[in-house]
Amino acid sequence: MKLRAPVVTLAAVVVLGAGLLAVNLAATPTSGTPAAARPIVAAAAPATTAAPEPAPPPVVAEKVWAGRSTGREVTVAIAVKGGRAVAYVCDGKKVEAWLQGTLTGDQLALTGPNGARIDGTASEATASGTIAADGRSWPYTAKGVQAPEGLYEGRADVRGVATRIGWIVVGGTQTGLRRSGGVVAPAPVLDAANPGGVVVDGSPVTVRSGTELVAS
Amino acid sequence: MGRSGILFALAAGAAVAVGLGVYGRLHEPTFFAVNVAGFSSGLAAKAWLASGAVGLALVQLVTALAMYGRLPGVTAPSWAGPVHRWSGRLAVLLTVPVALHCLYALGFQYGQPRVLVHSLLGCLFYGTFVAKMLALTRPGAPRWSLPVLGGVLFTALVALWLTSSVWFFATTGLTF
Repeated sequence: MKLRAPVVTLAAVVVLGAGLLAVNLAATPTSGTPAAARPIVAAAAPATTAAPEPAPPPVVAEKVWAGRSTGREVTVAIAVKGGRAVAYVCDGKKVEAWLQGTLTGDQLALTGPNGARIDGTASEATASGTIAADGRSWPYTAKGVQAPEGLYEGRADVRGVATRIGWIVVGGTQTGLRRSGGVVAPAPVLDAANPGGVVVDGSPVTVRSGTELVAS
Repeated sequence: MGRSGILFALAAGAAVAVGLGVYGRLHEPTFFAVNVAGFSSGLAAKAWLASGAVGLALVQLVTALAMYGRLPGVTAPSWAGPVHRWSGRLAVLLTVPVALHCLYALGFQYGQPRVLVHSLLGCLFYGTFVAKMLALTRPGAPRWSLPVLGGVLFTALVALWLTSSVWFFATTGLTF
């Protein structure tokens, strides 16, 4: 019997680890972190490759568009690379959403948490269509931009709490919000010339921008 | 029997270590994990749990030395074995929530030397733990196996603690 004890210890560790992992997996989708959005990319990728007839190639391989809804209610930036797309919608006050999806031919289709959607038609110079977020929808137009204009994402672990920041830089203005533990707060100022210098509550922020944000 | 048993234990440990590293690398970090109640932040909870594990590991070291007769003038008391086993069990259970947060919320990272060393040692620690538990169940395992595996475990845990808890306390102060 004595020789079984280490196996029981091993099993106890596995059971505790598995239990904690299950609790985490159950809790994560409600947190609004990107983990909730990941499966969309995973599901979308096989769908495009396994389509019965080959999908039309994206009109642009790699591009970032930034702009606003026509009534200037929200700012939007969309980055595409190799047919995959990531977008951020933000009003700078309380509404914000990260979306993921595809560019198929000239058609953008992205989805995000809580029913957020971006559809549209894209060309090298512009992207335009409809944004839905926070239970509302707006038409938008966005133009192709070059750094320092574009889309920025910051991530930080502020004393164990996941913090994700989005910024859209377009037309000389920054629109952004940060979210940590489900709470939305104003974004710190981003110096696009030195994106690595952003600090939130003493924690350094890892900033990525533009097409880097598109999962390869 | 002895040789194949220890080889099996070491192979299983190696597989666990590599598996943890691969999972930590492939799994997309969520930057989120359920917090342990009663602490100001997830990192503070981790730092204190790990410190508790290191405290128990010192008990492990002393009881192991006593059992192997390496403490001059000390004959191992009869309770040395049970204390060694139970402090070890408690220590490894304390590390599980910590390691799970590392793996699930942060993943295997290599951006800074401290983080790379910590990630590698975390994989080594659990691999060695598995190898040691399995080696204990093989009566024919070589005499050197338990002291070596235990020594690796102790060293890895202390180094893990130095690269995380001590770093945390040094940068943010002794926070609960």
